[in-house]
Amino acid sequence: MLELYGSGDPATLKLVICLEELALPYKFHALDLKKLDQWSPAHRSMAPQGEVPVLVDGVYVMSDATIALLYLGESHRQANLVSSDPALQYDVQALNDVLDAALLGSVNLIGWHRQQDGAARAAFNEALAAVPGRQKAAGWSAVWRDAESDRLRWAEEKIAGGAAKIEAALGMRPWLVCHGFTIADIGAFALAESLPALMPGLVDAQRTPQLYAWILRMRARPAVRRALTGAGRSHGGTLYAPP
Amino acid sequence: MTDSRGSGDRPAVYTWDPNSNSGKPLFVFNEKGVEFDYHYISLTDFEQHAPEYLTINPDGTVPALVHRGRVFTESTPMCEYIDASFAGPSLVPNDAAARYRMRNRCRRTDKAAEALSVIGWHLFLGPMVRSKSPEEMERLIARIPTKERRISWQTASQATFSEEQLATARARVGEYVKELEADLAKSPWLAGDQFSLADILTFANFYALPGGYPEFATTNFAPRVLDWLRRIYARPATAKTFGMARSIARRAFDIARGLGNPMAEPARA
Repeated sequence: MLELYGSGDPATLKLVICLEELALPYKFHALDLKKLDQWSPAHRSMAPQGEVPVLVDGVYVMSDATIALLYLGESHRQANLVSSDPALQYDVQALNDVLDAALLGSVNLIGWHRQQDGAARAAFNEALAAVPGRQKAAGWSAVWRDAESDRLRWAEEKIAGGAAKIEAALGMRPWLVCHGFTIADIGAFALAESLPALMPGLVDAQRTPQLYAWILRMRARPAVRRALTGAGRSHGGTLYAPP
Repeated sequence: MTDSRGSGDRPAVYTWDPNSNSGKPLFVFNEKGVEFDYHYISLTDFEQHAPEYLTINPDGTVPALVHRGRVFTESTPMCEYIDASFAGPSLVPNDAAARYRMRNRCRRTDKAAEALSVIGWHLFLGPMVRSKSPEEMERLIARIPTKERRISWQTASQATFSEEQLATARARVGEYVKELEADLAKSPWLAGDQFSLADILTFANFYALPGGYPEFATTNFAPRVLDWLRRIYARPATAKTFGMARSIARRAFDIARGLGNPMAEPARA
């Protein structure tokens, strides 16, 4: 039996939707990210840097949701969620990578600010600072954008770019890749499904008609409906992941 | 078709030196033993933002692969495309779990490469950019096609990093070398028994470790990583790829000499 350790966050949603689409039985273990469950010794034995979600298939422990999506798709080829044509499969993987870079961190950052007030964020940051052995980020964004307001503005910029990429891809076809419905739709939807609520001036029926209609098409799928009300979402919505 | 721009079966690669993302498709094609056309795009001359190149890749990033009239611009999935589409030794494991391990390593290397690029900017690109006049920089930034990357370059062109920021980036590199060392304790190559894209793509980013980070390239700190570097330097495809280098990656020959000369320098073309 597959086991999934996650929360109501966008990255966990990727795997929940995929498991539901494939009709695979799995056991869900809920993590409370606000209470730092992702940094517990038990979780860190699977995900040393507090990665969420974690998918366990027998002896295989997978702490990168985007590649775990590929693993699920390729392990169940009959469901046709990946392509055997190398060029179309490139489209699937490239979109996943590009949209992760544009949306994953940014959507969580803005959502976390929206859902937690200043006092709650300060308390969380203090608890996080006490976690031993946590790696400091050392990329460009970490060394440039020290001020919180800069980070939020930059996140909005990146979300606008990601939304435009989805809108452009959907201008030509009903799903993101020519092959048909794939894990690229699953991965992108998990990142973008809350954008109409989070960024109403940016993503709506007028400004991004293709993206908006695709979100509705995705939500109408029975597996997606189950995922949006099931594992990790019993409270009824997205819970954004903390930094 | 013999069109060197990649409209036919012969692939065309538009890229800089065999260094980091730019090097990935070069190493992979040479490992596969596949002939390709190499169109050199000089990053230090900002050719990636020149109008001629933007007709190939409107985003203005390298590398770009053109094959059968299609353009591929994301370097990591591009390498999987090359492996699946061309003859030659397989560089992607068949087994789903080994494939997960390979892809996970590629993604983690891409993340760790951000720390490398902070140091690389500090040592090489930053000083070069700051030596240009403000008017020249303004002109170069204005032709960058995406707003997000214009903002990045604007900030970068003025950025100097504090000692603390540089120390954090260096420490991150050291942590990642330790992570590679742990992987190599489990198997001879990063994703298992088979030499794979995980090794090639990580090497493309870390080949210069002994030059830039001598404190991490010691038998005390990371003996298996040193041995792994030597094994990859000794591969014929590695020598062939570095033989194509025109600027920064020429240092690979000095680094290989420092590692006991595992790489035969090919005759210069």
